[in-house]
Amino acid sequence: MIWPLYLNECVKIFSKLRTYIGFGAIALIIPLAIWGFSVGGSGIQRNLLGQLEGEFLTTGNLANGMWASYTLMFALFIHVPFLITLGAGDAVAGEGTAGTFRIYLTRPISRSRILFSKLLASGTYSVALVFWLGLLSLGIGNIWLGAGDVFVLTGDEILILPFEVALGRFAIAYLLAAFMMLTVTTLTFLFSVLVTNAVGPIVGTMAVLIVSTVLSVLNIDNLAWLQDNLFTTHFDVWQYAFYDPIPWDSIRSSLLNLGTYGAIFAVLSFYFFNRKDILT
Amino acid sequence: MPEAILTTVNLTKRFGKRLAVDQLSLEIPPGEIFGFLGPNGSGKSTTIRMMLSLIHPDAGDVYCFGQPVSKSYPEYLENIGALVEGADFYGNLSALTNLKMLARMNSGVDEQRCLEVLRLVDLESRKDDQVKTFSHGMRQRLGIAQAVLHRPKLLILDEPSTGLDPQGMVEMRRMIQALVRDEGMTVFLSSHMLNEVEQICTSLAVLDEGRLLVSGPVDQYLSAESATLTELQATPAEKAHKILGTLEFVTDLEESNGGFRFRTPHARRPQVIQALTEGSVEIFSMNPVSNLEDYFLSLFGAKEISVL
Repeated sequence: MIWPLYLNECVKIFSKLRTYIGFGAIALIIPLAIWGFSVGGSGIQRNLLGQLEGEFLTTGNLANGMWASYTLMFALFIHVPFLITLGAGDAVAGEGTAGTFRIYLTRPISRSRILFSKLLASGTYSVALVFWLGLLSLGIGNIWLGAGDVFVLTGDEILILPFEVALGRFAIAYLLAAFMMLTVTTLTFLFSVLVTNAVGPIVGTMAVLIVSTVLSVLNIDNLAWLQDNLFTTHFDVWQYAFYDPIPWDSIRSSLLNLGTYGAIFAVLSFYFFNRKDILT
Repeated sequence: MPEAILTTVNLTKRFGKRLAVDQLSLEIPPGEIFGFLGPNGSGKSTTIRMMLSLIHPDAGDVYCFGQPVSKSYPEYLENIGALVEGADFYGNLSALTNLKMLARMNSGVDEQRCLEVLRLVDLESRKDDQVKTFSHGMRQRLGIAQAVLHRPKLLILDEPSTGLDPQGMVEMRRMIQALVRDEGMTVFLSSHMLNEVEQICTSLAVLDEGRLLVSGPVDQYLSAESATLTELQATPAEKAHKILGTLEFVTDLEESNGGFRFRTPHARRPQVIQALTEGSVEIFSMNPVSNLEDYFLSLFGAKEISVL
């Protein structure tokens, strides 16, 4: 019975104009950024080579499409959660605002199933957004700037991944990023259950993310125990995909943290939604 | 006596300090058009939302075909179709897409049935139009369509005529009567429009401040007042007033809207007309005020009641 409900939710999400704001914003930013890399490519290359000077002999173009995609992941994953809230935040709260729960929840389907279908559809939206980002940045980047080996800085190490290896690493990185964004989705979803306006989940999620990120990066010893357990501390899990060798233990640990938070947010969403009085 | 389709037992709901519904016990027998009356804010919508599990009661329970809905949720909703307050849909989707989405949530409802109910409410020609382009009346009709989509046994309608023009109200009433007659549905009709309830309902319950005031067959309340409130437009007014004042079966005489209001038994109305005519008074109109309205006024006293 979940499939028809999931189909309903996808129809609702993808028939709204606001759903495409995120996709549109990414489609606008990526070509602009790639254009910026192409214009300032020689300067960027000089900077990169400057770090290697005296130790390596480099040939070819380091500031290629693969490198641009890698760099864009850093920049955009700060902003993608905001775009996710636009879609997931509306999933429950939007129905409350529109009054459509009065026809939708008076069907012989339990609230838990309906909420689960909404969560699946919101997750689909978030994952689609992440892969849209990957598709555009790799596609446009490699077409515009050319494909090649990717030069990455991992912690204090420099790593040059051959093109064929890098493609696989990007696939892993985007999968990890999608998982991280699903945690953001469940947080937005929880706020969407708690309020009856579409702005509340956006503001609530962003507030939690900002506060948690600030706590994650504060250099205070007494907060170390907290920082290790904050989910925002693990938002950079995708970067592990570019380490050599890939630190699977660290990835497992980060996914466990993100998954636990996601599960808590989801369980709370179900708890509150099943007890919610529909007054609108 | 056949088993009641829906029963509420000591249903209670509180919002903060305000008691919205207070130990409400109701029984909706099958085949009836059951009027649910009460002033605005009397707890009608809260009761309906509890019947539909949109609101959780603080105490009491709702029973559908004898089963407590707290145990038979959500399956019991297969037997119920509802239009709660305004008909709100996914405005950016077409009428047909809206119905198809809802059809996926009920077993045995296909696209043909969606088209059938659109035809029933005279919206088939607009099936592909976005609902946001619909008038209020069209949305209400689409609201009826979604409520009867899965052929429920009980149709719960919460103020279905609100915001409709007179023609729309007549159409709505005809539609409700047709559903009872042709589809064998039982209708629970919440309204504050007394003439609507009087015209189509067979039983009624009256709610005030969350408490049940009366409940029973409509006829019982229509015949309760032997002296019917009557409105008269006649000229010359002074002479009419003088004659009416002399008739012993005319009571509570007062001026109203350029004419008069008084109470008189139905059987005495010819004598009133005869007395006025013999006194050379020209009668433009003499009509009984809605009996139910009259009953309501006696029930609520000076309280303000929204009446159309």
